[in-house]
Amino acid sequence: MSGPAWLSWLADRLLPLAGREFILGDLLELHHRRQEEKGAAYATYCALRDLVGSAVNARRAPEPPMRPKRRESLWSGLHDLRAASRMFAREPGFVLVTVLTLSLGAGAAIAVFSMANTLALRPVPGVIDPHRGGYLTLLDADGVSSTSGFVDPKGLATLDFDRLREEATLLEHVGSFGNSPVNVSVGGERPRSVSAGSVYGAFFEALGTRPLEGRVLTAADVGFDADPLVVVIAAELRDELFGPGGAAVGRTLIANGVPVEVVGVTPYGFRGALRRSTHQLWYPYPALVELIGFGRERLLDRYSTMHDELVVRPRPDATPDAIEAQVAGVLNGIANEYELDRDYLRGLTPRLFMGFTTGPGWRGRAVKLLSLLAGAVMLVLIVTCANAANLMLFRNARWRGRTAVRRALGASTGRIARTRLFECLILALAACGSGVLVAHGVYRAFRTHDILRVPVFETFVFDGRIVAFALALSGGTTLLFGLLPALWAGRFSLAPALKASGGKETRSRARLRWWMAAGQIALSLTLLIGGVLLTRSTHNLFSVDTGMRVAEVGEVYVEFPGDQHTEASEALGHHMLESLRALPGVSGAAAALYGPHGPGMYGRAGLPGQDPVEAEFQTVTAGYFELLGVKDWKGDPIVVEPEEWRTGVALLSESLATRLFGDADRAIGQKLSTRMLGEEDVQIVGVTGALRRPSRPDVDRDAIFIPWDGPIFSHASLLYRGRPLTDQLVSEASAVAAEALPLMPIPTTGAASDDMDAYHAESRLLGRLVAMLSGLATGMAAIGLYGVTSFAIAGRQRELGIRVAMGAGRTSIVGLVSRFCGSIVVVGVVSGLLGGALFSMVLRSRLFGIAPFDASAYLGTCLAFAVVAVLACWAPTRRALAVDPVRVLGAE
Amino acid sequence: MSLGDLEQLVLLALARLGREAYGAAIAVEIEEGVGRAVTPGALYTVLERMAAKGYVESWIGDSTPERGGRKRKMYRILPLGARELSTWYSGVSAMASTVLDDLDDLAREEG
Repeated sequence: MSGPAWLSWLADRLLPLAGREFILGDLLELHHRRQEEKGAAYATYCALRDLVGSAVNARRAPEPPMRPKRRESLWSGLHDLRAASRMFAREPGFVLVTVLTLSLGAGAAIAVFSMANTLALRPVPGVIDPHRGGYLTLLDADGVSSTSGFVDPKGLATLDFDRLREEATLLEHVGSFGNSPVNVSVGGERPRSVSAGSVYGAFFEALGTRPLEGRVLTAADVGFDADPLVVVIAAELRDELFGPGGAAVGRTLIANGVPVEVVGVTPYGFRGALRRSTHQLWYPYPALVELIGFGRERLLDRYSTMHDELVVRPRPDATPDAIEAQVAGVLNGIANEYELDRDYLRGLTPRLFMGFTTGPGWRGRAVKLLSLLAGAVMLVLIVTCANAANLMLFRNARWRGRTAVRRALGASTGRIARTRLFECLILALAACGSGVLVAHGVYRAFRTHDILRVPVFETFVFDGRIVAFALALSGGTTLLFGLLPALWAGRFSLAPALKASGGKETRSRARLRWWMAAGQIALSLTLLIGGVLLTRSTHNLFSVDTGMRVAEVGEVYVEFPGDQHTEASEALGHHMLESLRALPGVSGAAAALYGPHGPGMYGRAGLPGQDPVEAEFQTVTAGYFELLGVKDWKGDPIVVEPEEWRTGVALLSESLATRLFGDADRAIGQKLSTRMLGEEDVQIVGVTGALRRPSRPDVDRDAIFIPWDGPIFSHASLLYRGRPLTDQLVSEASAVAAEALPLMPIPTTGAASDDMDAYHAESRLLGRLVAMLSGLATGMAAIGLYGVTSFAIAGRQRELGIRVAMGAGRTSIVGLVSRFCGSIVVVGVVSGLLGGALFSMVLRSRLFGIAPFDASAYLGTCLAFAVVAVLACWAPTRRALAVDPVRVLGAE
Repeated sequence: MSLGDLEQLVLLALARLGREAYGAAIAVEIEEGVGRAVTPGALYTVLERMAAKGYVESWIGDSTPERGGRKRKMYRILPLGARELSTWYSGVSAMASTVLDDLDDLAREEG
């Protein structure tokens, strides 16, 4: 750098605008003269001395006002507001894109963080002091919750539970609850199926729930020596049964045919101890004998415990570690008294999850899911803010000349900053308002259209802190990048600023903008790769061949009166199947104990004399296999004649047959010992092909199909194939069952494929949200690339004009623009691929049927991005081609 | 007396330079004349102050390559300024005339 050049550079930064041109001229002239007379060193010394002295002098001396100061008043503020609002009319495109960018980012953040809040952070409704209580779960050696269980020695027997309550002195209240729906009616009306739960111990005391009316069930109410036929109902159920606000306490309900007395009503919103609970009625644990038909011994038995979760409220001075240690000691004491299950009980580890927010089973998954979503949203927010910052810098550069003129005409730095502040405030307010609208739109879409099919969204609420965070971020970005240049206004030199007003900018800012565009592309590509992998994974989950064609198959889930198999209920079942077959548009019907994808009832099966293996039992009618298009292990359709499908025969799934006999071929005709409800030997008459469940798409089902001899239990799943399955047909099928069972609740009906949606709701939720966010980020990145390229073209008009004048062709100009865009895209894409690879590693456990580094996904995403980049650079390239050298150079 | 010491020097320089007075020239004139280095910033502050009092007037001159193409701001002393300078110089001369010999003797003794 030559002497005068550095002197100019320093003077630009140290000297005030007023008189700078003349002072600098003198400094340069003196430097020149002294350099010739006394050498460079002396000249440099004197120049620095004079420059610093001049700068210090300027700071001391008051700046002469260039025009008399006007008194600041309300009118001047209004004038600034009016001047700022005129900006909307002058730059509608800029305003629209900025507001849209910020509002989409803020809206997405509000929606996703609100969802996270709803799913994992908010307390369960109706619980008092939710952070003073929590869930106590017992984890086995595999880390699986083992509070409840059947068949195997899992769970805590009721008597163990009583001992725990007594000996765990650090716990003020201990309660448990189970899940068994009941059919409820009032005054001879048709019963309705109500989600209900049994409670034991100090359940309501642990939750701190207070009754809206009457009382809640206390520990004294739910003991085995108390009257079990008392219930507490939810306020919503009270309104349905007795009218809004109707008197319910003291009234009698018929629950599963048994009269029970309502002793209390819980507050609105309370649905039980878990976020996903839908309970509307609670009854004492011993009432399972009368209401469900369990034997009293079974309720006390270790092998069929009905306590799903334990809820506790520790003493105020107890720490979680101390509580867990004490509970472990109690379990150890219990284990010493049980020889059979001693090792199992000793292997249980108590774990206390404080806070009634999300149950222990869902908590870990929720935290992982929400961490992923929060990470994705943060990336989108970064892209959004970068985009908004880019737009603001772009605009500031365009307005640099105008600002300098205002400054030169006497406007103070404060005045310029105030006008800019109003502009930014208007922008920020518009963006914030639009952001809330966007979030509200997402919220309504979730609620009304259930696009994500996650049932908890019925309680999706906005949280003020989240809204404030998102809005502060978007508003802060606007203000920061809008105001900073205004504060620098005092440093503007008039001449350079006016020269730059056509779109030129400093090299450092151009570099900043270049990197921001490349960063946006990188982050968007990262998200896009994740979105593509998750979407394809979800598609793979829904495309899993379960071995059963459930499309167009309807399902009616019916409950029969009583809990025993009777000839009357068997006849009723056959009558309903005949009625279904007679419906127009129905091509076949069959029945099973459980839905097509199971799981059925678990039991054991094995060769005589060998150790049995665990298997899933499904009882079905003869037409079941034809209706669902089940094929045998060779791929031929299975046809079972009704007369051959009788007690003592069975079909195995290929997986179970291979497991037991080594080869499906060898299984046919063999005898098998089974143990489900009782022990029975069956002859294998067929082997199906591979069967899978939507909930475990990577594992073959070990299933055994046995004949359906009428409803063994009090329920059945009636299946029918519609051609096609219309809503009308579904309602007609429901009517058939409702007519046949006038004293039972109206049956639940739907498509047999509905369980696919339920099982994969989480994958679908994550896939769709990440896909939506990545689409949003890609759009932003395209806008960013467009902005940077447009600005670069605008700043290089003169250069382009000279090139065209010198004979540069269209190819040369296109190449020039392409090189500029290409450098941004290449850096962004390479970084994005690295980011995508990292993101894929995080997602690895959630991917099904697709590798984290699937080449086609990466390649496809890059190609898609290339198309987006070409579209983003299209308009700037056209503008570059349209440069007229005569006009551009003539204007100078 | 209403003139500051730098104002006196600047007015003297303006009087010597005539219509060729501008920042750098004035600074050189003062430095060569009395050996005092004056920064351009201080110089313009004084010149603007005296312009406000009506002692000097300014106009924009031409540019030179040594100045990086920047124009010069030219100054000229006005009659009021000239009167002030003259009054100040007369006073100083009158005071000095009676003591100049003594001052020379004193300087020799010290030397």
